[in-house]
Amino acid sequence: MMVYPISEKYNQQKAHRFTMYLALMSITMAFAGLTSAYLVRKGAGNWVNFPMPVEFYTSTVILLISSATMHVAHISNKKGHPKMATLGLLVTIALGLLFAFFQYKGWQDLNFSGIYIDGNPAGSFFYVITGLHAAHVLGGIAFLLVALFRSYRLFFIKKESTTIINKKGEALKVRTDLLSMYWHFMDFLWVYIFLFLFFNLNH
Amino acid sequence: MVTSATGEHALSMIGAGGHHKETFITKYIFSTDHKMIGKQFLFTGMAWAVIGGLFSVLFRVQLAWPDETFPFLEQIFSNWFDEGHMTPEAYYALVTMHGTIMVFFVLTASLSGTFANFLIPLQIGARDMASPIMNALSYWLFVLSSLIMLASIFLPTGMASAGWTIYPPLSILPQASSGSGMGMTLWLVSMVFFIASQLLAGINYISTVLNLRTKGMLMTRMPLTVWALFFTAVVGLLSFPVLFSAAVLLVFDKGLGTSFYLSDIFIGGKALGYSGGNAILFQHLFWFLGHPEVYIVILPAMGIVSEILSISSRKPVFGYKAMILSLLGIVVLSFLVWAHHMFVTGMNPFLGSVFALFTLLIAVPSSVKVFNWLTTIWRGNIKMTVAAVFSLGFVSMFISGGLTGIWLGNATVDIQLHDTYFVIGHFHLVMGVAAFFGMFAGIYHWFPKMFGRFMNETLGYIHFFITFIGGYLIFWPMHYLGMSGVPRRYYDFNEFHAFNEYHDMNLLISVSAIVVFAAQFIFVINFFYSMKKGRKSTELNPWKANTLEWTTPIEPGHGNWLGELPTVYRWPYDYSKFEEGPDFIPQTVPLTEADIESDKRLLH
Repeated sequence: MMVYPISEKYNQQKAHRFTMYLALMSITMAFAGLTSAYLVRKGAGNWVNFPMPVEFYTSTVILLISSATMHVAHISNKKGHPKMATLGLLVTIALGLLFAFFQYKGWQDLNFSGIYIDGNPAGSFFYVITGLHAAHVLGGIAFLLVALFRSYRLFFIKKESTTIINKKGEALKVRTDLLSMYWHFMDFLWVYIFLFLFFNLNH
Repeated sequence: MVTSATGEHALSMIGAGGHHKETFITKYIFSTDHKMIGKQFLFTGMAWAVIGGLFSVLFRVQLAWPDETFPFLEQIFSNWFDEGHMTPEAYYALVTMHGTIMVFFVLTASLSGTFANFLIPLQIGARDMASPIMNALSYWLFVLSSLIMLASIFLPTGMASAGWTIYPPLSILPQASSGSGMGMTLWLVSMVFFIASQLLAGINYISTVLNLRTKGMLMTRMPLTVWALFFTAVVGLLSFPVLFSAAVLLVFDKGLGTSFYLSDIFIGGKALGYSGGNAILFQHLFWFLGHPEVYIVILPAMGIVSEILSISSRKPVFGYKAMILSLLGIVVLSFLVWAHHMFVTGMNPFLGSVFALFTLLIAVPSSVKVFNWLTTIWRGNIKMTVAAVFSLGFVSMFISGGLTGIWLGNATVDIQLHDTYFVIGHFHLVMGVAAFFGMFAGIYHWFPKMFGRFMNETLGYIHFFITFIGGYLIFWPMHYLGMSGVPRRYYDFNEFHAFNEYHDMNLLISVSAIVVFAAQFIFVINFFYSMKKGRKSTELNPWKANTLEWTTPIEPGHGNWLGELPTVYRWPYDYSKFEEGPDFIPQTVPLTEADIESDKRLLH
């Protein structure tokens, strides 16, 4: 690989953060497309309202907590407490999976109450929008797992000291930084979707 | 090797044939070098352009000689012919795939893929893209998407045939046409990978332009190519996700029986399971991408042409800031005009008038650009290189095609002309042929940088004149056909007495199309011959241009510059600035007292 002078390296890192912002912008556009389609379709009538499944309230709280644990992981990594950071990643992954589980229970609940994916578009939109969000959360979990694995290997098996700044430790810091941006965004996106669906289903 | 106090250790690793070891596979196939990825996009795009062009020739043959039989074509394309005649299903499939291939695979992926990858790092003074791995991933996702689309061509049930706009219910119901089965499914799968590829690429381009500019390369000192490619990426980043959403809903309708787009439909008196959907919803979502998409196609060509016209007329580009602002204006307005594709869907006339207004407004920044191109070459000492004639051809095509856009933007006129050949003539001139001309101009111009050799000029001029005259012969008559009401997408006009008198015009169009298609092989042969045997480039700066890519070695290695990155002191269009001395001043030359004086006067 190429070796850059230090100032070029700094630019490269700044570019990584910025690249993540752009990626989040494109995800925003995808969901903006879906929710505006929702509104246009709802405006045309023939729309069946149904209550938000209770599991979704629980999952919202879980995702909000996971955002906090992700923040702990990020801050600990920055301040040089890699073990705390690793723990933070582990808890975040667990909470993320719990969120996905509750989403699944919520869909199951809806299905029992007769709202099917191939029924009225109100239900179809509900499944597709929340499903696409859950897919993005699962994608985030996959990358969190990689970070967790690397962090575990680096600080628990090889027992590297954080006082020595090495390439792998630096890469892990950048990775956690980007992942925490993504994860907070997923949290924010879910709050938006939740409120959007909540107010649309009740009015 | 250049050594300096700051970067000696670092620089020994960089550069052409340095210590950076590369095997055949890492250099030519799974490369992360932006220049190689750019060339890969170019080769893939050329292959697609040949396929897409061949498809158009096949359906033009059907339109010109609907009664003849073509046993030899049947032998080659046995799937699409029956007793020497093209089947109607094959005709629709060919029209659909011609559009899909040309719009997405050639003019989106390949045009901006080639030049954004090749030019952005070289012209802003960066070693590579912000994320070289993501860049390579973007190309390989494009390959994956290409392979899936290619596979769909060979399906026995036929490829997608609902038009490149894949309007439901045609695209959803397998009963609508045989291509709406497996062919359409593969089309959608391919497009998912395509969108992912475009997003990865676009994110990377934007991030590179904003973060990796070299010292002194202010945004207002960037060449217009980089500005155009940057805005292209912004448009793609904001519009492709919406196509993704539209496609997701379409996939659900197709696979899981949801009713996003389909309402109560009866086939043979039997009701299908759909209810309550809205087909117009798809058109809104599709054209929210679809209209910005035409700017994704044309903006890179505009940037390339601005650069080449300035270099070859040895004059500063006229109105550099107006050029950037008009690009920005086009970007903003491109998101506010999508429903002008839908005037006939029964939309509220007030809404229609709003969209018509924005559509006509977009003529303002477009005219600013045309005015600036003309004033750039005005009284210039024009060097008629092949790249320059293609750029002039671009301006000609853009004006001819653009003017009819003003007709079509008016809702009242559009309702008459909608879905006629007038529309075909309009958009092929303004974003089809014009974008191809921009691409050709760029290839002829930057070929020495890509391969260290020149393309043959004589073949280049022959290629230009046949394509230019042929392009007008194909698309000019279509305007008359359209004004007479000849509809697009019809398989055989002999069935309609009203259209019989236009048979000669159809014949002229088809013959021209065949000649123009054949002439493109002059370019292909020239391209590959010059790559291996062309005249070698011996000087660093063959076109006497100011931009940074001509300060690299003739064939730059991974990392582009041997020593430190160059520092930029001035804008890229200092041509014929002073009466004495060379008529160009590269961006890396520091400003002198006289420069500062004249800059005050010129206010740029």
